[in-house]
Amino acid sequence: MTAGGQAPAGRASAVEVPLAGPGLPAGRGTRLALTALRGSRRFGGPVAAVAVGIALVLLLQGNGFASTLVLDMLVYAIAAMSLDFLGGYAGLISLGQAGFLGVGAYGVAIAEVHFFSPWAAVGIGLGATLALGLALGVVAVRVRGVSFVIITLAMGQVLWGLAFQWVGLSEGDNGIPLTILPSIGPFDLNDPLTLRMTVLVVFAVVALLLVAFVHSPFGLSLRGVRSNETRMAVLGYRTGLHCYLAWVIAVFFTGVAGVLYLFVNQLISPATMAFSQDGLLVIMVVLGGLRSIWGPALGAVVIVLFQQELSIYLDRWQTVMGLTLIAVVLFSPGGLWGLVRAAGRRRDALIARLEARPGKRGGR
Amino acid sequence: MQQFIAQTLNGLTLAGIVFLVSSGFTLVFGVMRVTNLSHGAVYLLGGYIGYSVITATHNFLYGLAAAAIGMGLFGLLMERTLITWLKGNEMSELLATLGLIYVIDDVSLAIWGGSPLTINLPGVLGGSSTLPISGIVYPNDRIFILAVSIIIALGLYYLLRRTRIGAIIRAGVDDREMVSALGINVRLVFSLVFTLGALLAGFAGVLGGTVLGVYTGGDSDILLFALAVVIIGGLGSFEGAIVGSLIIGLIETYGTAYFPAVAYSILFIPVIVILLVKPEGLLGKVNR
Amino acid sequence: MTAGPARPAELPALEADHLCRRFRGVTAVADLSLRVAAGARFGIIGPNGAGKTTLFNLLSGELRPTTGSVALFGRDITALRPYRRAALGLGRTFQITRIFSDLTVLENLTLALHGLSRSKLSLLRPWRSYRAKMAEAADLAASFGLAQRLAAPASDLSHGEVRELEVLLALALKPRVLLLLDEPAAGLSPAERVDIQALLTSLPAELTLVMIEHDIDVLRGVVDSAAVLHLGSLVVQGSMRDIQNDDRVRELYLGGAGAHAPAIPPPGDPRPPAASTPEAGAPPEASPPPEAGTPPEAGTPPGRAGAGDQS
Repeated sequence: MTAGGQAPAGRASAVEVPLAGPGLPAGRGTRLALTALRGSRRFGGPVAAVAVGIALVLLLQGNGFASTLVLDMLVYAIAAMSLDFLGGYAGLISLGQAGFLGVGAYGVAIAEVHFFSPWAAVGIGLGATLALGLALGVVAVRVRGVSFVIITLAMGQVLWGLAFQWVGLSEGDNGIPLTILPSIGPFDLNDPLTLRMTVLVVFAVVALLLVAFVHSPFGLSLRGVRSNETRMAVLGYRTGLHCYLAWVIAVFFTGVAGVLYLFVNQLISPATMAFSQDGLLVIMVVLGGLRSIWGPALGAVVIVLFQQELSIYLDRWQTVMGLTLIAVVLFSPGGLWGLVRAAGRRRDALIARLEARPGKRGGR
Repeated sequence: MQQFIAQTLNGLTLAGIVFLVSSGFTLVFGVMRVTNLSHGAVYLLGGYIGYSVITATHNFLYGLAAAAIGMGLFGLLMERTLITWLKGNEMSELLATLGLIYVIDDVSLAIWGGSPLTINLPGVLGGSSTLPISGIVYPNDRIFILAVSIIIALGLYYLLRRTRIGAIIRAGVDDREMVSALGINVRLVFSLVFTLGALLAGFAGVLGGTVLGVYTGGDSDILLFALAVVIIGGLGSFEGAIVGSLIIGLIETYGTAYFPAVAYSILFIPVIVILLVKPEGLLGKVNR
Repeated sequence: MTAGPARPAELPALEADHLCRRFRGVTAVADLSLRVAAGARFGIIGPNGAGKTTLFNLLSGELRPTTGSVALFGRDITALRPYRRAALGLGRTFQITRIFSDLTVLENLTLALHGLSRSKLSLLRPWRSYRAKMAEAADLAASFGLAQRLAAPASDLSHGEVRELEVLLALALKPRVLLLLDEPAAGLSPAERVDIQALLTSLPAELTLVMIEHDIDVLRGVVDSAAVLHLGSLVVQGSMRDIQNDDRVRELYLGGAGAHAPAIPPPGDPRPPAASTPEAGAPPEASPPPEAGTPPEAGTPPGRAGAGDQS
């Protein structure tokens, strides 16, 4: 910690200021800083959440580019958060998640092509994802670690291959457009504003559910499996079952993201399920921060922003993204959210230090 | 019938290219436990470099050599930096090489553009000849590729089975701690294996460029073939890579010819079956 | 065979019947039968390579026997996987300590406490809101002097604390039979040794304790009966007094060994001197987790090709 009192910009130096600062009674400055720090510890999270929520609502009110961008971010955030639930907590990183996003979307689109009502189509899309998750999970959770990555990659590619080549079902490379969105009474998803708010609500619900899961005994058990699976078995856990449930939950929520993706973009094509998209989802999670539900949401924001906005100004954005991922893996395994957490820990340590020494600071 | 024979030959050719890529992948995994997801990107980069050198020198062999050596050096650099820095953390290595895919692809796109390129073989290799059996007219370049892959497979087999360095590599696949316990310079073995793998991938990139073309996305196609091969044959098994390549090459070719709607997907049926029945692969060792 | 202790026991707590386990033609455990009475403090002793670790893994379910069976309170558990055995009351510790090193002490204990309850699949209720389990975790930690360390990541614990946590994890399941592998006191400071000893003696009398050890001296005063293994077979089974007076055991063990000297390999033991490291657990998964506070003796020295149990 710098002891100099020149730049009271950061929290750290703000506290050290009274040391060197003339005129200001040391005790009072410390107390002020302590109050501010404690306040940020208690209210920082909720205040930030409310602020982000308000910002999202405001952005989604507009009709412009910003609202489309925010919608994409929310959709991918759902997928990235569910992937992190599986990959970060249970340690099962799936490189086939874009495939399941596609299954949700294609399920709805294909059902509508076959004259199902929009609501029935949504049911079919989600049902198909769930059924596929239940079936493929039996194979996938037989292995761990690198093998799991490779197997999910293979699964994602099978799904992509079907979307690309099974023209009779999927209309091939062109994809399937969606014409009518579900509506019931005054609640009409064809109305852009209703759709946007619905996406926001679904995002919030999924996020809160995942946060609850993570803090439940089940979530703790996933961390235990990742940490030491043999030990878990001896403690009475049927670890395969826990991995399977985590997989099904992650796949299902990714399917939910797929349905919303279709609603937002009104078109699903194989490009959404390509290998590069599988990789992008993993990058969102790792960049944002494994083992934190909000980190991957942050990662989704950054990557979608990169992809859709910065790519206009920066031709080589993929190079930047790839190098960023490598840098994160090398230097900051906690990702962006890890940096936020580290700042929080530093604050807590600071509070502890300030509390330890009372206002008077005499002999020096 | 004639078509079937031609398809079989096509399948074998593809198997040859896939083998060159997957053998490197599987050796690197077997000895170092590194899952190099950028292996396909190295293949593609080799193809691009080969294309440029051949265009400049009008000599196919120069292109082949440049791609192989260039990618070998690239592999060496990668092993000495990125892989070494990650200190054996399997998941970090996987993720870092995933990031590298985007970098290599993007840089390739910047240099060579997005349109597909084809590498042409010189002289008689660019033509066709009538096969003695059933009088099929078959392109010479595919026969050339098949022959080259067989020669390299034999060479690798000799290297692994009959030389001291091969014995060390095989021992490394079986029991890595043993190798270091025997006082062998493991760092050197790692560098060698990684370089060899990248060299083979670059070499395959030029060969593949003649019949498959050099195109954006070619890297993930070949990577997925290689992954399917190593799952079927067993991660780390050289013989498994041969068997797996044959299975994948033939299924892919027959599938495209006879079941175009699901060709790509049926490729992974053997993968799923193997995972259910024998998760360690046909010739793989049980580890974990 | 005589059952170890004098207690009249209806059903033996743990019974091995003609157990046999071969690895690629090497017989690690050969036709071994044991009866451990309920409430006994039972030791399984033998020099390195005697097959103790294999026997242990057969009992705990990490390995399946080639032939023979294992019964827990009369119930055949030979085919049951470890998590099922745990549910039936068979607890164990690990030689290479296996705790959840990236979780805190509290989280470690909480995992153990939820292990046998349906709440382990609960999705919506935060684990911190299970008051009774939180209190239980705090009590457990306090019983071992870990009360101040509840919030600490397990990776920050000292070697001794890790050993303590290891035992606590096993105890949290309230096992009826507890298998302790290789000196829970190994590598501990004298003070920590006292802690462990105190805990072992304070365990409820109805808990059956099976300790597996290569150093016979450690078991003195802790166990009341024992079985001695050599090269995969049972040499003798009986009370500690009988065993210490047994000629064959003397020959195996006591020939000039000081109070804390390591077990002396029997003559004719083909292994190199390096084999005095305790055998690593069953085959490949036993490699020590790099992040764990690996005990010094668990490190695999080079050239241990033939050391330890054949695996």
